[in-house]
Amino acid sequence: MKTRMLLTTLAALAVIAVAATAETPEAPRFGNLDSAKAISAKDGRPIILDFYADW
Amino acid sequence: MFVDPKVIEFFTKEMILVQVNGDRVDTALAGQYCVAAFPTLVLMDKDGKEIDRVAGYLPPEEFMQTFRDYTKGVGTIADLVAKSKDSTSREYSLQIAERYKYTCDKAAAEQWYNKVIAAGDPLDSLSGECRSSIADMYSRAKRFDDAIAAYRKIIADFEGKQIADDSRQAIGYVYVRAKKYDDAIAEFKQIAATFKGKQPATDADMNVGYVYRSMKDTAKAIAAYEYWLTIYPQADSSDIAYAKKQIDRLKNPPAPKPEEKK
Repeated sequence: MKTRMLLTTLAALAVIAVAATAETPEAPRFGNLDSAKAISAKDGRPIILDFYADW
Repeated sequence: MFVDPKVIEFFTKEMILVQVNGDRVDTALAGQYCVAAFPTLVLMDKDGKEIDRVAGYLPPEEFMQTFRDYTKGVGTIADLVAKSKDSTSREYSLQIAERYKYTCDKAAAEQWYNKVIAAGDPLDSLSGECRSSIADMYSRAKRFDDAIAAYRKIIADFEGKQIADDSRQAIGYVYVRAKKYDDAIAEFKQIAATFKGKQPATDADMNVGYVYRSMKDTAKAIAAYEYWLTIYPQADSSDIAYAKKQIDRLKNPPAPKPEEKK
């Protein structure tokens, strides 16, 4: 049950991060790689690391 | 910046997006992945192992299809190299070299560029393009002397061609990257004197402003751009707009981003 809740939360966070990207493209997203690996290990989605510059 | 609804849906349903400010914040991670241009998008599996990457911008549909193909092993560097055994095309080899150029395997990139050169006339435009890319890789790898020597050889071999003019300016950029600002200014002033009244001089005089900007000498940078505007009133309108924009930005610098205030 706890695992299910955690996964739901992580998935929701991933959606929020992507949605926020559209509106606040320059918002920092550092420190998320480990979380992304955890989600990827569970649901199999590949990870895309987007290296950007805020020029 | 992702604004296309299909791309956002793509990241929501098919991929996990991690955004990294590789320029100012997480430069260590950018270094670890040898990111040499922005944006660079690295596709990786659940273990963090790189599958392939895209450097630069693509239209939305092509962007999504490229990553979908990569996940199936289609169009990846490994796939292209495997198929290259059936091809003698220099353009195909160039495509592989260009892909390697934006990865950590610069030696492979150089090897494929040299393959393109060896398969044709070393003085044709494709070879010139490859030699210029190799020189650029040297510069980015901080092999400044090698980069300058490579550009000087291109100038000698391609005198009178656009690539020779571009290489002259590139030498100035190498000096800037090496923080040899006096040498950079001397290089650009030499170009301006040699090509007085021609495009290379216009570009070189503009680049003097870039050197001062790199030195963070705002007053001299503004003076250089203002001087450029006075001596090139008939220059291309986009160049004039660029110089004016630089002056404006130097006089009114943008506020620092939130993450820089820490």
